[in-house]
Amino acid sequence: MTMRKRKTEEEIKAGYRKRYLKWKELNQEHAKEYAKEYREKNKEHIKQQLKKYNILNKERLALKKREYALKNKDNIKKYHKEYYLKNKNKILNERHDYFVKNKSEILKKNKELYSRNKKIYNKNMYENKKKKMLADKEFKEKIYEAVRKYRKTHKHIANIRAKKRVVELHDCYIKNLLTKNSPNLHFNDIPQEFVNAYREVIKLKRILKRGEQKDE
Amino acid sequence: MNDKIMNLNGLRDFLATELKKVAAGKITPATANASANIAGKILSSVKLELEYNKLCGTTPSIDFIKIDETEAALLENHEVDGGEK
Repeated sequence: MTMRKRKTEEEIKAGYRKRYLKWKELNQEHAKEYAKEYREKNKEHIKQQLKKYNILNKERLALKKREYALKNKDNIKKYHKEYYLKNKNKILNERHDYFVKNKSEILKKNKELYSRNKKIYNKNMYENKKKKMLADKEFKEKIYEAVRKYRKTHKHIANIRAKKRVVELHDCYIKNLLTKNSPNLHFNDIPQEFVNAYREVIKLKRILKRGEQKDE
Repeated sequence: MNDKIMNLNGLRDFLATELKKVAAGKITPATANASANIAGKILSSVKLELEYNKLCGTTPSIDFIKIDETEAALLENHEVDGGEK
């Protein structure tokens, strides 16, 4: 007599699964209803199981999420934009409510953040303003006009500032000297090292001039 | 002139030392004037090259302007005094 082999637990589970999948294919609608009923009946049990699963596979899931985000960056951005446009009022109200509730904490955090990254913030602000100004021609002309007006009305202050630039050998003054007779060169074309070297030449020449005047 | 004057910062250093020597009375004003004139001519030739590059629409690759990062950091820490203020 040949002895029949006993099935292992895994083989039994795989058999059940096979039979269930076959039944599912044949009775799709019934399977959906059955799944719905099961979900409604065991809501809390499923929640707990999911929680357990998430805790156990935390690192793996985080990696998966990151990979998905990197692959579908544009799609995710699109989705978030669409969601924001659809629910704009709701989101803004929620934000406002949160701000009103935790005003003091938020302001404290913002202050700390600003004090930590003061230099970067100020630099970014200045660069953004400059970009905006350069992009907007009307705004640029407005500012230039205002500066011209101010110079006309406050001539004495402008003169004092100009004299100060000459005495202290400011970068602006040296660049002006270098670009005076060459219309193709602009302030931005001259490197800082060149300006520094030229400043030393002027210093030497001035000292020599002073010596000559004393001798006379 | 030294062999060190192969870039702008070298020239700057040389001029600063010349300035100190003139103030101390170690050099005659005539020699200092000559070195200042030569430096001015060198710088004007660099300026001319810059202008030429601007007209041609190419990015200037002048060895005289190029400076090592370590050298620049050293110069930033050690600012040269002198001159009118």
